[in-house]
Amino acid sequence: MYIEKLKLSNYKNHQATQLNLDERVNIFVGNNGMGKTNLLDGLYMVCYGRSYFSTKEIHIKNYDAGYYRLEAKVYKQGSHEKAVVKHDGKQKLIEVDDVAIESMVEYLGRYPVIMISPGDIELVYGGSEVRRRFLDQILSQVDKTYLKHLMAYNRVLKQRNAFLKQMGDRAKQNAHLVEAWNVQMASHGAAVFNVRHKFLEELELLFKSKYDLLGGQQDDVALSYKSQLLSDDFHEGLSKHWEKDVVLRRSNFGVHRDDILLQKDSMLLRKVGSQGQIKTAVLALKLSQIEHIGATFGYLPIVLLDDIFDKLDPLRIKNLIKELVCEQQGQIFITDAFKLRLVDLLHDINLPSYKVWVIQDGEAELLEA
Amino acid sequence: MKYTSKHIEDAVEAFSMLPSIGKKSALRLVLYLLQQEPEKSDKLSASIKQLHTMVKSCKVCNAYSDHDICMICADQSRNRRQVCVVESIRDMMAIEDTQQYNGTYHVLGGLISPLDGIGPDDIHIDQLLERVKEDSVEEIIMAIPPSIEGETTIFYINKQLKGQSVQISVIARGVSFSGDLEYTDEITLGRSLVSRMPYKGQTMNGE
Ligand SMILES: [Zn+2]
Repeated sequence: MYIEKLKLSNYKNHQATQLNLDERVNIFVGNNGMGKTNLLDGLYMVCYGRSYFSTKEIHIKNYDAGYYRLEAKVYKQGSHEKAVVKHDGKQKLIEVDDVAIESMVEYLGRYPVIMISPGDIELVYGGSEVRRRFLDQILSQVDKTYLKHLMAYNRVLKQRNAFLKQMGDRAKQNAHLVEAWNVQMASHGAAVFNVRHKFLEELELLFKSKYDLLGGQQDDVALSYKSQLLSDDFHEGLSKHWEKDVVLRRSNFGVHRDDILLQKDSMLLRKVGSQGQIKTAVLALKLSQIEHIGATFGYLPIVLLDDIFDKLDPLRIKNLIKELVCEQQGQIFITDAFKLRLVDLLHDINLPSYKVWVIQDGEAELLEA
Repeated sequence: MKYTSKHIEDAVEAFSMLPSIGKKSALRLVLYLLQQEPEKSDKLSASIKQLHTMVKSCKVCNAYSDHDICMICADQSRNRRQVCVVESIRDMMAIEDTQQYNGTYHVLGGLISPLDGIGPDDIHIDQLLERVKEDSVEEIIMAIPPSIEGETTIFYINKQLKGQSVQISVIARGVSFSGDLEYTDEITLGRSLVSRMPYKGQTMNGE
């Protein structure tokens, strides 16, 4: 699968950008603030239906136009598809070959995509919600049943928490209602747990092999699944935590408390790891995502590499690019401030084909090879 | 838009208060009425005026009605031992349109949703429980959207009815019943009504 053409209209600072893309490697060079990251985000948005960086639609529209439009021509398993993600001023709409897509559930995973950006360091330093989002991003793209259970679970949790917050001590007088939510939390939550649990077993091994491959063979790093569900099932867990729920006025047991534990020498990586080790771990997580998606679908996701050069040492960069470009045959997009650094690197590893675009003030110009 | 008459402008303003009517459609409707006989406008305004004074809620099922008891509840040929529970009057009308159902209805007027400030006491659950006792209801058919809120409401009602000899069934899910009964076609809805299943404590599993 790869994107043949991309058209952006009024997307962030891209008023009218049109690119005929290389099926393997595309490089966007330009100074910061010129729009190369916006271009990557546009690619992410058209594949995933949602921006990677902006959670609010208001930050996406530009030029007072009141709308934006992204169009990608995608080659996938022998056929060409046209994907459009647009905002008409009132609402966001997604279309594939001019047919409207009714829900995100239907769209997610249609064009799998993985973004690798400097902000990913939060996977190590951030709260557990960052690591749960990492899990959900990948599992939602490969497993629609998972996504449905997850959405249902989150809705039940919201209702239960709203109830606890409103009722305080009186929550105890309404056992039937609490039971209604508990039953639903248990059925959707158990489904979420089972999928995560199985994936984490695979991720443990994948992560280690990717970490080694990036040049960290000598480190004793490990990843594991942390979940309350590993020791108690929903029935036990919810009743054990009920008193606490009432006092704190929110739900304290469930898969919304899950985490991924990252360790080095059996201690928390974020406490004992060096900068290099932490960055390697983050990339290893991302490479694991890519591999899992590739193995599930039989084709690789689109990979977007945002500004990774300032954050990594040359050896690790070379290992990363080699893995993505030589070992795997997917389409990748790379941004960098300096053209030479990338081109030299690609030259070094004998890359057969690529395109370089210079991005300036929201416009893209193709450089002749 | 520039109007040559303040009265037209007022009327456009009034029509565009209605859902899915924009200024342009409103103007089209107003100009249409002006071009017709005045009786047409009189009829329209009279019927609108009567809405709030003449229409009340049925004391039994909460459906809109001209009398204390609605036409369906008053109809002796309808089976009062069978009650179909719906979220809204629109859903009730959708089921009535299938012509597959000869029982009575109960309109809840909402679903349990703390996020929207709606608890069990804010919808007509108590009234339903009373009906079950007084009319010796034999079967309750839950025709409620398969959302978290719908599921919660069904579960809750089922618990409140524990110990009573009433059969609770749910209409077949998984059919094209995505949230709103109104949009399900009559044949599908009619079929799922016929093939309803006994409620087993939970209906939806996210599949
Ligand atoms: Zn009635």
